[in-house]
Amino acid sequence: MTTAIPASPAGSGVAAPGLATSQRGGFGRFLVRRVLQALAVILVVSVIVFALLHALPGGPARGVLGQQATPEQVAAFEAANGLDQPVVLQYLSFLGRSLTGDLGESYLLNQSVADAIGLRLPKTLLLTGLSLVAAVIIAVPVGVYQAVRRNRAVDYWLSTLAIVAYSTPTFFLGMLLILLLSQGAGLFPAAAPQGNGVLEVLSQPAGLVLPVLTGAVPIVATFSRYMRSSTLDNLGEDYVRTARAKGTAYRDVVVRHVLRNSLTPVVAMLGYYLPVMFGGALVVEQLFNYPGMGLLFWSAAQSSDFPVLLGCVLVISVATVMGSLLADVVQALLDPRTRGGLR
Amino acid sequence: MTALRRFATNKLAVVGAVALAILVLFALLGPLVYPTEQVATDLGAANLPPGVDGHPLGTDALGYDNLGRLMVAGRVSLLVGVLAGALATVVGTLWGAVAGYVGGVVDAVMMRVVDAGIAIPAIFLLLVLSTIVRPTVGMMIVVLGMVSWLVPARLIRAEALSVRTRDYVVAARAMGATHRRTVLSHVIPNTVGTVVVNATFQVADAILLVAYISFLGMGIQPPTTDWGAMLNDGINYIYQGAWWLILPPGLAIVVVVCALNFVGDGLRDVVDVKGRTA
Amino acid sequence: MSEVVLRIRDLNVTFATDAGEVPAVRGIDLEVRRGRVVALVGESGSGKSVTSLSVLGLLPSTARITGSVALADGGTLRDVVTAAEDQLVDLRGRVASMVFQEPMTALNPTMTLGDQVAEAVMNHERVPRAVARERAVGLLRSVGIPDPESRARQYPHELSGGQRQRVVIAIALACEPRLIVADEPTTALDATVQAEILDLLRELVAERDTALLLVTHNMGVVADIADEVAVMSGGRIVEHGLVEQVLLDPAHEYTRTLLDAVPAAPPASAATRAPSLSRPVPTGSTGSTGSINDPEISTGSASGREVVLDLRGVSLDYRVQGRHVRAVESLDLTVRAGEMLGLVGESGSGKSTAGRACLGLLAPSEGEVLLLGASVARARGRARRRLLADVGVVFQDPGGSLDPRKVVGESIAEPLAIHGRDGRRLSATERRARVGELLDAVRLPAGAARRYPHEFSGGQRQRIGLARALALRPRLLVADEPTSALDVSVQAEVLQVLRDLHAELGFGCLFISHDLGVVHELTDRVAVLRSGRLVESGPTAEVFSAPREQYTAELLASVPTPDPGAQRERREARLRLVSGAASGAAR
Repeated sequence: MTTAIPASPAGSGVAAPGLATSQRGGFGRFLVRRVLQALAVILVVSVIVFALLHALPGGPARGVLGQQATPEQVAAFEAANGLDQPVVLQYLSFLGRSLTGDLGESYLLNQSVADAIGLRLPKTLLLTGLSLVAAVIIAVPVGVYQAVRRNRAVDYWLSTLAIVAYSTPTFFLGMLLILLLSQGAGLFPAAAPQGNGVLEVLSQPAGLVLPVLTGAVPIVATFSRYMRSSTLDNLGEDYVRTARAKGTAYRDVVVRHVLRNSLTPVVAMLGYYLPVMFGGALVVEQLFNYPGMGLLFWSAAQSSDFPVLLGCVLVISVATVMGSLLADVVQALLDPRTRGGLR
Repeated sequence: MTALRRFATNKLAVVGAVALAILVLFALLGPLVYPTEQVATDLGAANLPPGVDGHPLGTDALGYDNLGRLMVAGRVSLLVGVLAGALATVVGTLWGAVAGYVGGVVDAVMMRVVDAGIAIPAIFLLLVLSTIVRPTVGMMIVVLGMVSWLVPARLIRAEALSVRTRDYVVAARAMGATHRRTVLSHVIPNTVGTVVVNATFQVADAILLVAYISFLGMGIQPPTTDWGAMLNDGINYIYQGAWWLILPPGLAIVVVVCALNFVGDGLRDVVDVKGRTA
Repeated sequence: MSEVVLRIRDLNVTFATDAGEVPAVRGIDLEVRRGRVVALVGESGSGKSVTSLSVLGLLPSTARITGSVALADGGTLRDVVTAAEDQLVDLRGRVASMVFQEPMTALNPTMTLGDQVAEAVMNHERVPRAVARERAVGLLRSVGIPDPESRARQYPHELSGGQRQRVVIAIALACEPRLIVADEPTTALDATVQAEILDLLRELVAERDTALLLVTHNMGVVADIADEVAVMSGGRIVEHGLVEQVLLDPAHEYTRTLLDAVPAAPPASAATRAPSLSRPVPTGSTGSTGSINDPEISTGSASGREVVLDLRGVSLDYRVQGRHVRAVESLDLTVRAGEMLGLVGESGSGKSTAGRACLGLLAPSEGEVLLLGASVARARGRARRRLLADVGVVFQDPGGSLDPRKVVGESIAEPLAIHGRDGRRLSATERRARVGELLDAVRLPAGAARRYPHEFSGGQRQRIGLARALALRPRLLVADEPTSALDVSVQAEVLQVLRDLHAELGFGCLFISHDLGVVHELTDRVAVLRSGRLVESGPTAEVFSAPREQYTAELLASVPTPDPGAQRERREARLRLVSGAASGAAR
């Protein structure tokens, strides 16, 4: 669950991804720009994945056929798949295949990559989604509370706790939870629910507790800090003073005025945090043996199942870009200064 | 107030700096004081609990002394973390500074590359890369550096963009200063604080990433080890209650990453120029 | 005498800082009576804003307060200092309310204007939301917001600064408080808007018999609206009395210095007369094109001397999200050696953009900017550098224009380091000597060279900026609002230094400012800009005493003067002008 966001929100500036949406130009313009930007990013991602494919030992042929393939098999594969053509053409055909959902065949699972991912992605989204919801429900009030009680002992301790939680590797945290709550107290099983569908997984809620909790803690640590910092910024704004001067009680000022304005930049940060969450999901799934995309990816890495590896990277990255796009659009919609262009 | 004194007013930062110093000394000088056998295995003395047979922290599944292993693993974790963090900082700073200062189309293209890099979760990319190249210590540093430079790039770009519009930079340009002079004499000195603070966080994140990769079994290969790999080895014995294989390396990671974050926060107070000019 | 609505007794406020306790207010006494307008004036750090915040108990928790601040609530006086937070919440808005300085940020950006006014109503009255909303619309109407029904559904960003300030005033009025505290309510506004807001406040206060405690630094505003005035300095009230007495016959030395430092407003005659026909108006005089506005027509003392800056039909654009927005439209200006040209206009008039173009920071999309006869936009490399060596610049923000990481000596020497002198590099000793001379010229000790910008006050930093600008003895100085961020007494000091150096060195100066008083005092010629177009230009004395254009006349009449009687005349003259224009437009 590391990187992609500096350890501290102030470092990156919570408002950083605001994208200057308050400029004139309106929401329509903003949306077009942002979608074009997302498409450009996906294009660059596809180039990176394509480059990785070619960086495989022995090139894409061995990557797909496996390292044990004979030179004859390799030659036949290359001819059949146009790998003797210029790189640009190869890239275009790779792009075309990816767009139609053809991500190749796993050579271990006896399944197409698209099917393998399609089966597991929903379960990963479920796990990540549950962690995220749990985390936000905790992080937002904690961050606001800290901001209101800024520089008091309780704020200090919660901040320190957040840094400790952030600094604890997800897998270590998971192990501790297994040791304490599963091995020690016997409250929850250490093995995640198994099964093919999302509903099957959901029907075993006890098994979901530890994975969801493990996934949620780092998100709480990060977002309580963002929320604190964003709320502090807003508490210092002039409109807070205006609201207090007209006799609005402090609690109402926080709830009616500050909360909404503080949430807006944090929503955008969610988009930026997605890659970190997917990274965290990989570790959680591996630790609890949860049958999601992370586990699929990990097993593929163990056995050098390259089509699966690269397919997963492509899908996860596109999901990330879409998530960020969605977060930015939601943020823009929350802000009347950008929404204005809709009318 | 001098920089040192301002740093010292942040108690957590001081605690962090001390903890960091102790851990570094522990890993670097520890084996000289407390030499142990870390190459040849001793299966006869496997999985001993702490205190038995003169092993203060017990032994692992291969009979290595756990305390000694913690020291040598720490060397690898710290070395990889510091160098990868430094590499990421250098690459990211240059990339971000150029994008931010040049602006326009160059900036747009450079930043889309950064966005794309960030969109690929670092752990996924690292796992793919480590199936392609054999993970040695040197390789780990390079690979980690190459996936971690994106955040500093974004940060420094924003900083360069903002410094570029400050009146003193505009004044320098109005005086006829060359781009070279403006960058060297104003932009870089005024972003260096951000770079240094971020480098601290970068090292912390790199140490975490190394641990993740090793924990996932795709890291540096035995007999070389690091804290993450120790945890990966230890997890198999978690159900037998071998807590001593888990807690020491896990806590070591937590302490060093925390310490770096605390120090980074303290440094930010020191370099915060805005606070001083007000 | 009418009843007391606010009584402050022996108020002391200190702030806990890292450097220990810092006193802000030291034992002041003040009474405000029903229906009276009391002005609290002083410079920054005088404690006037702290006093105003203490009235509603809005000081931050780091403040330590002793003494009493009592508000009249019904028949009783209730002490704010000892009141608990829930008692304060009950008092705020109902008994006393507040208007703040920054209308751009004073309203919640994500709540409709109607809801923000309605909230003020509902804070103190048990009324259904719909009723509160209706009341809000009525309040918006009463503060002069046109079409209040639809405005109530809009958000703050859809209104101009002046309109937003009206909304803040509507919020303050919502529960009909006996006292309104207004902290610099017009400081962030343009002069014409300031005059309108002051008119509104005056009417409302008279209509509703409300008291107004007005905090301001502007003596003209005091003269315009106040009945009484209390002068604060160093946390104390040094003088308190009726406005005529204090402004026209100040008893205290400090009040006198303060009044002396205020730049004389342009002559009152300008305000009393409508657009003048006393100056010859060439035919076809409405547009900004053609020769009528060519400043060279008017003969100043400097005419005939070398032209150092020449703008010919300059149009300037800036880009917002890929779209071009025109900031300045075919502007003609000249500045000759030894003369000062004032470029005046309200915010958004394009005056600063024009200044940037003169510095070669912005290439004109049409026309040409000629520095000493050569085009800056087209010069490259060495030629450009040589050209820029003859230009100095001073910016508005004294905090931002010096590199915080360089000692002052290094900043001042920067032009010397870039250009050398007489075509050669200077040795370290020569540079040090020159920095010493320059510091001396701006009346700072030589030791200042080794210190950092944050160790200096705003006025000192502006003088350092001036020293840097003059390091190479430039032939043109571009000064963009160099004193707008400063207190009047500090402004007077900086302007004096500028005037002396100008007399001594004889550079041409483009002085960009929104402050007509300063421009009147300082410049030889003036050019008035509005929405990117030149309205008129000519010798300052002529333009200011007999403006040719309606807009200039309005602008001039909006500047308040610190003489209550004269100000009343100006105000009436302005109202005649505005209403004349309105009826003219209606016809």
